[in-house]
Amino acid sequence: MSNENTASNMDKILLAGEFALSVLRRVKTGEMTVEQALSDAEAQWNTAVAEAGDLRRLGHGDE
Amino acid sequence: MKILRTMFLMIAVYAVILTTVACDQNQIRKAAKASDSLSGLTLDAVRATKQAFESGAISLSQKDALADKLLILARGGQTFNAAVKQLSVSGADGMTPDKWQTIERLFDAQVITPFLAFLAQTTGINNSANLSAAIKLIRISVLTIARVFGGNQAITERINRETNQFAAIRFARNKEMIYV
Repeated sequence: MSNENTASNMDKILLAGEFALSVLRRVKTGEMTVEQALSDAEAQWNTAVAEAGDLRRLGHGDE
Repeated sequence: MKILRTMFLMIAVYAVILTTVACDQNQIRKAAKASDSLSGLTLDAVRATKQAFESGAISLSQKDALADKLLILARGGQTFNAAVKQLSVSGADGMTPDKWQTIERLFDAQVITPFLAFLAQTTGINNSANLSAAIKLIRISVLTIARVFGGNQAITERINRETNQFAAIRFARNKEMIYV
C-alpha cells in the first residue's frame, strides 16, 4: 500500500510538472510577426476544438 | 511663405496618417499575439480538465459541463482569430474604425461571454491544482487582451465584476503574467 501511495504521489508530481512546463512554453520571448502569431493561434484554436470535442466524448464509451 | 505653409501642412497630414496607421498596426499586432496566448491557455485548460477527470478530481457530469463550455470558447476563438487575420491582410486601406469595432464586438461575444460561462461552471471546483491554475491564467489573459481594445473599459469592468464573485479565483496583482 505504501508503495502504491508513493507511486500515486509521484504521478501527481509528474503531471503537475508537465503542466507547469506547458504553461511556461506559452511565455513567448522575442518578437513574433503578426502572421506568425495568427498562424500559431489558428493551429492552437483548431487543436483546442478537436481536443475539447474528444474531452466531451471521454467517459461515454463511444470514443 | 505660401510654399512653406503648404509644406508644413503636408508634413502634418502625413504625420497624422503615419500615426494612425502605426497605431492600427500595433492594435492588430497585440490582438494577434493575444489570440496566440489565449488559444494556448484554452488548450491547457482542456488538458487540465481531462487530467482532473482521469484523476477523479471531478465527476463525469462536471467534466461534460466544462468540456461543453471549453468547446464554445475554442470555437469562438477560431472566429475571433479569423476576423483579426482578415483585418491584418486587408492592409492599411481596409483598417477602418467600424471594422475594429466589429473585432471588439466579436471578442465580446465569441471570447468573453463563453469564457464567463466556463468560469461559472468551475465554481466549487478547487481540488485540482492544474485546473485552478489554468482558470487563473485564462482570466489574466482575457483581462490583458481586453486592454488591447483601447478605451473599452466596459469589457474590463464586466470581466472584473462577473469574475470577482468566484471565490475560487484569487487574483494576485503582483503575480500577473503579461503575455501581450
